[in-house]
Amino acid sequence: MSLRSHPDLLASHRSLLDAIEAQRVRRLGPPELFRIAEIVRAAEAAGWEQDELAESLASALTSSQEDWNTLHRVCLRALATGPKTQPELEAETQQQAAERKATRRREWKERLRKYWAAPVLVLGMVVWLAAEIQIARTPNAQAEQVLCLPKPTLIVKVKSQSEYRRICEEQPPEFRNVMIRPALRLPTGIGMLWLVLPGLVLGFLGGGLVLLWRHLVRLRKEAEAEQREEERRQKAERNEQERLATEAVRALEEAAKEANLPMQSPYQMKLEVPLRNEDMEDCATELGRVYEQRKGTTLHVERTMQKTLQAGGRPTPEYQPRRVQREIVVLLESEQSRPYLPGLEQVLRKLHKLGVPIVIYRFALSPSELDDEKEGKRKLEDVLRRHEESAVVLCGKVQTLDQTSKRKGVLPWVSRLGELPRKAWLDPEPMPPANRAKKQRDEEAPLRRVRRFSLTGEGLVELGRYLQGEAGESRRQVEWEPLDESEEVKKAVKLWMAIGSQVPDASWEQFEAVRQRFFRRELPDARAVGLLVEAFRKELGDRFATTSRTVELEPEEQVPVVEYLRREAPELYLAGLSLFDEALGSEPPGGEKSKGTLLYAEWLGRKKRLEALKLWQEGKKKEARECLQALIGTAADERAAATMTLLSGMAEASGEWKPKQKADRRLVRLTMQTSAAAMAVMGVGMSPWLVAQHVETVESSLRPPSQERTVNVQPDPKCRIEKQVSFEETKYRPKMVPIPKGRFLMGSPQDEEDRRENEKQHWVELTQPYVMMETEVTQGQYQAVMGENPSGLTGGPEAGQWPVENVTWFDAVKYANRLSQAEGIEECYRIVGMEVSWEKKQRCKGYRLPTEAEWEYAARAGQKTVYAGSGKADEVGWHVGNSGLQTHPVKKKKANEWKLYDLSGNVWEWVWDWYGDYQEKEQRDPVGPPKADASGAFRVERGGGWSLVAGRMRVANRDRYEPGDRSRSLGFRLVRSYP
Amino acid sequence: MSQELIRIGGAHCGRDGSPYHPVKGLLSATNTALLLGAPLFLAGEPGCGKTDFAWYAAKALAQFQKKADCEQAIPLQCYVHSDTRAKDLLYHYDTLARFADAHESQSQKEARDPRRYIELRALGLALMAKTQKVILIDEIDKAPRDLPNDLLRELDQGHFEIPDIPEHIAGTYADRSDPDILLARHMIRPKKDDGTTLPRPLVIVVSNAERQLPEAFLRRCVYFYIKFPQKEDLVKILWERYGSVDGKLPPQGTARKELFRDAVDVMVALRDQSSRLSKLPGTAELLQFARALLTYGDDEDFGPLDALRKSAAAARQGQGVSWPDIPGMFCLLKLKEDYEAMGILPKGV
Repeated sequence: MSLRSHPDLLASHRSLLDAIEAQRVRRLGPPELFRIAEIVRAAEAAGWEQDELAESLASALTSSQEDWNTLHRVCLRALATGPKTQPELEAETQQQAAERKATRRREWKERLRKYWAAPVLVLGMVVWLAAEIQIARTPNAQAEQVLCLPKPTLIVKVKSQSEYRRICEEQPPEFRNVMIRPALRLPTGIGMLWLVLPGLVLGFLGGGLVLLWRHLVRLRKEAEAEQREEERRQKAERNEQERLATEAVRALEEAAKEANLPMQSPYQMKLEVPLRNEDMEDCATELGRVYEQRKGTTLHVERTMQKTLQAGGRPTPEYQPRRVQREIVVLLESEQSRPYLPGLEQVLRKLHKLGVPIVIYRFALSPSELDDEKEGKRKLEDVLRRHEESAVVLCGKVQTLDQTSKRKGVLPWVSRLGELPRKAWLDPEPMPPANRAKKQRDEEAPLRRVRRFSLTGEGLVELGRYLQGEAGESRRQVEWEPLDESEEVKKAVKLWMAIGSQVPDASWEQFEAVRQRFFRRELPDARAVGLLVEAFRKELGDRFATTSRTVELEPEEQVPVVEYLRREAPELYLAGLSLFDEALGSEPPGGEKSKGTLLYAEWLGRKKRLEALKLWQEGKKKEARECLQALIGTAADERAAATMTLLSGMAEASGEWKPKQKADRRLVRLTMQTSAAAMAVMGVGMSPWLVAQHVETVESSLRPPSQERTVNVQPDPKCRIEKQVSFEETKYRPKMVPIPKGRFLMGSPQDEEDRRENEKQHWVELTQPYVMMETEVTQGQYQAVMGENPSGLTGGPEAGQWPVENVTWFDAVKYANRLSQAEGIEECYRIVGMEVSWEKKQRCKGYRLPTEAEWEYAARAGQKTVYAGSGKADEVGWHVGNSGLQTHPVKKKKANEWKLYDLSGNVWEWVWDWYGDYQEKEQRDPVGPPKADASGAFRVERGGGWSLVAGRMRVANRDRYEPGDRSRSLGFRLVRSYP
Repeated sequence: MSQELIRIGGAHCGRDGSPYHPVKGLLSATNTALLLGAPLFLAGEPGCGKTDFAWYAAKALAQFQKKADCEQAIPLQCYVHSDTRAKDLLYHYDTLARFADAHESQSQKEARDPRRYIELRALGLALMAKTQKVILIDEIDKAPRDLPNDLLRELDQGHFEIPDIPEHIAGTYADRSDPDILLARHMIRPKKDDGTTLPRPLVIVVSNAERQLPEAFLRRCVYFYIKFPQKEDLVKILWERYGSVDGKLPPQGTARKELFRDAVDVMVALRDQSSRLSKLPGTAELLQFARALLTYGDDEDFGPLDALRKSAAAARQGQGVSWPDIPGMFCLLKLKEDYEAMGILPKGV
């Protein structure tokens, strides 16, 4: 029957097979599978009970009592649950996936709760950045050479001489590279809010932070006081507890001494031999063949025949020699070799179990005096005499040189050992001799006569062969391969150390058990202890000695190590705990009867420590502390207290323990988060504000002086004092807007609606930057300078803000000259009767009328819209359709790109030029045709007015009027040029 | 498999004729061994009835084979010594006799045939027998390590070789102990009368678990560890054996059962002191103890039975037992250091 006839059988018992395999009692090869199949089949055929089947499987697959029990239990469990069906398996997988998902979600939620400030900050930054990018990409945002006006001339009211003004010399204007950026277009009315909001937020935050800080300081002070009080109280309590505990321990010690009770370690670590089974078997077989010959009882046929023949037929029996196994005397060094001892002892025990007659004598450093378990100290000589024919194996580190006595030199035992016929040295240290420290090499040098074997599988087999003495000298020297020290190995060693630190004083047996259980892959054999020793030496420095049975870390030293484990490998943390828990057993050593002994107290203390650490990891911190609290003041006090220290250390390390500190930390975190959020809000909120600010700054630097302040007159050579012109400059002083120099297409395209023939398109270049009044000259401004108001349409609440009309062209130039005069600057026109001449043309710096080209250039403001500032007439201008047949206060409609108002509509505006046809060729700074060329004596008027249709408001539209005539829909605005 | 599944069980007696109660799981293990044709490896403390089980198994197997005198069946036995070799379990070659015969003129002719001096031993007989046998290899752990390894082939394949018989030899020669078996150099397993394979003998290998046997050997075995019997089982064993035996004290019935219970309690309490004792008392010691109590219970030299009762009661309540007062301790403890540890003898005398 082959295995192939059983596939279904095996498949249907997959869970059973998995359960068996998981126990690692034995690898399931074909023979084992065959056995299982055979048994399962028989059980099904004969209808065995589950228990019977489990017993049968356990018997067939194990070869020790422990394994039998384990496998029996496992099989029973697997059989009880029965084979899993496909849907069940799927459901399980789904459930696992759902659990994983839920965990992930929970983790994210937790993270978000803690660190929400980060995404808010990032979001704020992103919005800001986006705003900046958006601004930078706006078409107008380019570096331009812009005229910067001279430092504002201060118009000063002199205190004592109010009718005088102080005029300071103008500094020459300069050109600077300024980034002109349009302000972010915010909905009307919100602009102020944007300015106010950050201020409010800042104020609010500032106040909040101050309050928070004060609260924090108060809290901390209270907490500190409370803590001090608490500490004092705890100290007193602790002293009392310690006293009680010491008494309890003393009492138990006495009891133990009286009753002669054993005081053994409560751990029962289950260790495996750190070498391959095959090697152990081979070695046992080899060592089992270390025979000595004795006289036998069996007849040696051939030799008997020979002897008989030689004796002439007289029967002369000759016997075969009998072989008797030799004892192997092991001299075991058990102090310096402690880290290697667990493995070594396992090897020796296993060899003994495998039938090698081993006798062990222990010693410390030098085998001249040996320790016999039964008879106490013995001299080496006595032991050798007792085991005269035996082979002697020396194990461990030794001291061969006499360093104490006056006569320095090699100790006598070395030469005595050298004289023996069969001797060997089994060296548990993984490092090959060549790599050892010089001191150690010197120490080992005299042992040359004793052959050295390493504690590897091959080394052991060689040792066995060598001791048989048949091959004479052993053929080769086997050494450990050096362990590859990769990152993975380093991490494994660190975790290894950390798992050991979960118990208060890990012994080397425990470390070895931990390695065998968890690090078989990374640290495959016992030589890894070397790395562990190195790690401890680094961690503990001089305090670390390999001579002690255990490695004891102070609770404070355990904190970072255990915390590391908890963080890096939580599953190993728990697995390590359960390993030690297993080793402690569920019953105290010696059963219930040992209750009330020192051993029991020790056991309980360790047990509770593991329990507390486990609870801690599960998040049940209160329970963890309670479980230890119960031991305080009893004989297990020391362990419990040390564990408490470890736990509080861990809590401190992860910031969880003391409620006071917790409150403080929370407040700090709150403060940080509030500031982060505030910064984000401010960032988002202030970004456009800052941009607006920036533009404002640029603009204001371009604006003519607009401040006024009162100062005491100081003699200043640069200033002269003139008589004050009597008009209210502050209120009615016109606001000027800078217009850069440039080139543009004057006139309208052929397809423009309402286009007229006189709007022929041609290029015009203006080489002179200038400033233009923001609005048409208002009645207030006119009145202030001229002392009269000729307008026909007056009144209303904002009386001064209505544009002046009913003015002739001559009134306009007169106004310009008077204004220049008032400001103390050059007058541009010479007016003699009806003759007005503009001699310096654009070089004149005073107020003047714009030329027609200047007017259209400013009205277009670089755009292609039909009206000044928009394609929609109603947005920008008052025309017959919306004016109600009257003028309106200025600045009520939208400005154009360059912040000029009412260019289209409200009132027509006088310009300098005589009316005439456009020339087709490109022109530079045109001032219009001479009077002689002009068809009739008309001056040009531009921009349309309240009394006509919107089509007349087009920027290209032009009309003419006699300069001496006036109209209720005709006003003007002025410009000034700067060289 | 067309053949009927072998399954043994039922109530049978052990070596000395008293009823044997196999512990739970032992029959399952035995049936598994029969099913797989693998040796049954029994481990356990001394005196827990490992060897006795071979007798039980022999009788149960005979009953299964529907033999009339099944209660008379006994296992074939091999007792292993420290110098036993695998060959010794299969056959014995009496070289000395042949040597002597060769020098006697009247027997010189007979001495030419080596088969005359060869006798199959238990394992050889069991392998070559026409019926399924039970064979006991006792105390295998005493033998050198090479023995179990050398046995592997014979146990696995069932046939073996006798190199002392020349390849070609005239005539047939039947074995002395079983005339059905003919000796030859190559000993091949017989078939059933209908030509089918004969089920392998049940090989029961017994070890005291002191030493581990080679892995390769263990892999081929079915393993069972016989635990030390529970208190109730021990009382039952005592009752079955000595329930109706003549004795001075106490006469019969419940009183006697009480006495057995006390004896068992004392023995178990003693076993609980395992950390202090070098050698634990086993079933055999308990039997001696009970027999001694029955026979000499009221002798003045032996000691007061009251002390036994008191000690047993104390042990039941988990209190300390005063060991020196208990009569008949010499049946339970066999080492001087154990007497010292229990405080019966002063230390270091």
